[in-house]
Amino acid sequence: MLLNCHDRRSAVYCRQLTADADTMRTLIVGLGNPILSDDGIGIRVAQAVHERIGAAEAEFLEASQGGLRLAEQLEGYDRVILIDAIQTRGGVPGAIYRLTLEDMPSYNTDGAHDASLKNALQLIRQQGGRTPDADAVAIIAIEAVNMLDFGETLTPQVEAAIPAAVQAVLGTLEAILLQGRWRPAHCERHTEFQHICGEGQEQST
Amino acid sequence: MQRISIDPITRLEGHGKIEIFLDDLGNVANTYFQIPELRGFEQFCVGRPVEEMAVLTNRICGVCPEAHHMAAAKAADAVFHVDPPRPAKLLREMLYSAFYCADHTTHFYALGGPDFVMGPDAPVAQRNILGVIHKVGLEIGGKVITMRKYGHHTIEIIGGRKVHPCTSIPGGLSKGITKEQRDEIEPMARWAVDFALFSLQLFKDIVLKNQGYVDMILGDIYTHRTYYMGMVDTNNKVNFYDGKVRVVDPDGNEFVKYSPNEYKDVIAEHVEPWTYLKFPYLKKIGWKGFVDGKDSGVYMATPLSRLNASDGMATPRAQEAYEEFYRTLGGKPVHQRLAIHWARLVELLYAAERWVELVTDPEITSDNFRTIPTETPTEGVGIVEAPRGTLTHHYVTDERGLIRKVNLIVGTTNNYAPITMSIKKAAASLIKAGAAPSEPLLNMIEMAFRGYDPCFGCATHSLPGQMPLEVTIRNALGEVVDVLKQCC
Repeated sequence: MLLNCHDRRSAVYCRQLTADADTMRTLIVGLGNPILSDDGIGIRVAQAVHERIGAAEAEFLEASQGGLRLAEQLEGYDRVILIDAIQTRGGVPGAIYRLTLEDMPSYNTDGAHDASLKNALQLIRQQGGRTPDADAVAIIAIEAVNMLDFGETLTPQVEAAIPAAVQAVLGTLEAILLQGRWRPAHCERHTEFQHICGEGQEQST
Repeated sequence: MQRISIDPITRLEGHGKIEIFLDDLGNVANTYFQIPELRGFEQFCVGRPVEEMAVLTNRICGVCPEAHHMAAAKAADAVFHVDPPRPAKLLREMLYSAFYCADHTTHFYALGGPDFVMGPDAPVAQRNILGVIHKVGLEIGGKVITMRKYGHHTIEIIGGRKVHPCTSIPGGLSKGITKEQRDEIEPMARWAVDFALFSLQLFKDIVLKNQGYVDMILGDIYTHRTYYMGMVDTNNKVNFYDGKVRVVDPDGNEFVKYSPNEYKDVIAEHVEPWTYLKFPYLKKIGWKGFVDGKDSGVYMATPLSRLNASDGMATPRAQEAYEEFYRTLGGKPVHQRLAIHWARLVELLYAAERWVELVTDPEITSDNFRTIPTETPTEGVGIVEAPRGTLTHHYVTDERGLIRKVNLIVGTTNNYAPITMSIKKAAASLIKAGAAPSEPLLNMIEMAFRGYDPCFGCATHSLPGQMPLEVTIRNALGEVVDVLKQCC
């Protein structure tokens, strides 16, 4: 498999990617609603990442639903990066967060007519389905402003965050491909939902 | 005055918020169920070709895009004054039956069922689908996954896509199905019938054989006497895809039966200052407030409503289940809101049986799946029964078919008034002066509306900053005196 070894990557790294890529499947998901203003940010970032690296290192998916329906779409993959909008209390528009499944509340976060994503993945796993381990699911979330008005454009602060969000996804992809899980050792748990990393583009609020 | 705030509601789409205000004695003074309203949809649609609406509107709701797809397709048929050929109607209804099976299954096993299977006072961490599986058996999980998989696969075959179907166009469909696809679908439909029968038996074993649950269902806390709405066929049997909308009064007598283009003669909307969402009511009765009874224009549109508004089910086993339902609960109409869960399973069986009927119809693989529209587009209304209630799409176009006006009444909106009433009654019954609210008690208040399966999310899946259930109790000065949290 021919890989696009971009950025700071070494030949050793690329060889490892090649070996892993033959057996492990990686999925990048843009999650949200593209006609509901900033709820489309996840899809926009996923599209930008796809344009940047192509489909050699990961497959791409646009999804609008969480919970069971999202978990069903993750079946068969070993590593997943979800890109989504977020609204935190007092959050700075365009701020970028790296989250894990463990950071997500048990309820209602992501498909509340059925189950949390974490429980939905466990349900599929219980039935013999192949799903990514919890620590192989990374979530890149971008602080949104407007989630109530129908529209196909992002607010300026959120639009401006796309390049940094793309970098965050690429950094996460690198970590997840190298380590088999996403969370780099230099990341520290900062708050209930937030991880602050020693490098990269992620910003705390 | 104290204020108890449940924000947001667990296990429900969107960001609903319940506020319970207590008086100085600690009794419930009032309750408010507030939800954010999505804005600007009509403006977003104006100028777009009406045939796009079936694809565009299924983006409104992440939970039931199939329902919007169908209502929009039927409204576009009406705009173009075209009646799709029978095979097209069969295919659309088959897609819709498969969708119903997946959706009703998910609600029962993941959302409504845990309250009964695990019990309303079970630890919150166990009141979910994994808890149900742990208690009832691992094979349940496999059945739920299979039912969803079969439903979604059938949707994909007919609708072109697994999540957002795109094949319904004015006058019918853009493609039919092959005999090979028909042969692939049929065993899935037959499996769904067995699964629905299994689910009904499970409900009987777990809920109806538990006297405590039966008492809870039949108790006054969860009972309201209102009007009921649902779509029926020419024999007044429940139909999800086509027919007239029938409304019965609290005694079960027919109040009105209307065609889609008559909906504005029947439905009006009331505005309250504390919420952006409007409250639909029966225009001829009038808005009398959040009250029960024949003189109040409040109506409900749910699985239970559809059963109440009909004279039965159009398939044999579902008819048997329908008869048992009313025989057990004391005749028609049933006013106990917790019976919505049982009614949903009766509908699951009907949807599965109907799925089999449709896939075995000789015309299902016909090439005659579209009538090309020839008339000038003007205005049209399309109505289907969404799982959560009657769904109405109304479009007005110019002579080129470009949208001028849009009006939607979505399933849950119909139920906004009865949900509000159910919350208030449950809160007033369960919260007693001087007693601190507990988590199980708050869950029992949530159960008052969970049966309605209200859906306000409309495909917004933003990760929240703070999602666990949080209850804040304030004294008369607005000071926080206690905070209860359900930890994630």
